[in-house]
Amino acid sequence: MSARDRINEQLQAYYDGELHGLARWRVERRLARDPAARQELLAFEETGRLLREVEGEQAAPDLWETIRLRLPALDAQRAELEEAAGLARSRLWALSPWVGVGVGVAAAVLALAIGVEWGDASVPGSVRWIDSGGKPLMVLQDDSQATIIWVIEGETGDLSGRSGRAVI
Amino acid sequence: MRSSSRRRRWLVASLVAALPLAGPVVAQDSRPIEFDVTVVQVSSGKGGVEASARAQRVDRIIGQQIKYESLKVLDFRRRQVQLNQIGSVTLPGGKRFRFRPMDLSDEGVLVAVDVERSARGDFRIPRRKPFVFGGQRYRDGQLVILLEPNY
Repeated sequence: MSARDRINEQLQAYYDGELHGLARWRVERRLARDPAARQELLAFEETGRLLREVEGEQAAPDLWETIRLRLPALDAQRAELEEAAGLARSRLWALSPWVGVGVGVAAAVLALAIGVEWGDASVPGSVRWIDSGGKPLMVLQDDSQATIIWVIEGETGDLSGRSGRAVI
Repeated sequence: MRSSSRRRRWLVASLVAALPLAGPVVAQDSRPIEFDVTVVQVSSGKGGVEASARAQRVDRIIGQQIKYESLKVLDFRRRQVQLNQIGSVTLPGGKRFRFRPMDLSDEGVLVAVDVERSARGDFRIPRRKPFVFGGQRYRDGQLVILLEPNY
């Protein structure tokens, strides 16, 4: 860890109110004489402000039903079969390895088109809201084991999932 | 003049530091929630999965969904964060991973997550269920961040 990393960590702890006594005084002394440290602290505040804005937003309407209608037929058929079988499990989507990647890519494209808000906040592990800043993203898994979100940055490898897995 | 400028900078810094205290804190529960944050790098380069138990566990969690040739743990942090407070970890490369628990219920903890210059979102994470956020480029591979609430 570099000296700058250590300073940033101290600033982060200071911003989070975790420092007391001498440690807090030392950070404040640094802030007084180090413009870069002050800039870093302002960056923390900006991120905090964005997070508070997120908190202040109204709860998103449940768009899942709308999205499901626009997903590939394969997923719709699967959902119908589950409903017919009385499997009223409240999952964002059921993911086999093959279907998962396909549905994920479709959902990512769809999500980008509609501004990326989905999910039912009452469902454990459900994605309630995502903003990837225009970058494609995939929800590779969202079940009882884990939730895996993958943001695709720059050039990627094979995301078609020939092996049932996303290839980085 | 210089002294006045310095006092002003102190004032700004102090105000900035005090802002979180002035925020709309909803005191649902004052007890902090413990979060484990694990940062790993996966890549298509040779190397295999690191032998550590932590790396092996991450491999079991993501290996079925992501194909890679090597995986190594870069960092592990444990954070105690109260509701509506912000926990943070500086990622390798300097970006920050920040998270803010907003609500705790039987279904899990609702967390706002922000990966600097990458993505952000709100997620309901059940107890001991890993939340995985990946894809950020780092050196010859990509970062994967696991966030796990232990409460």
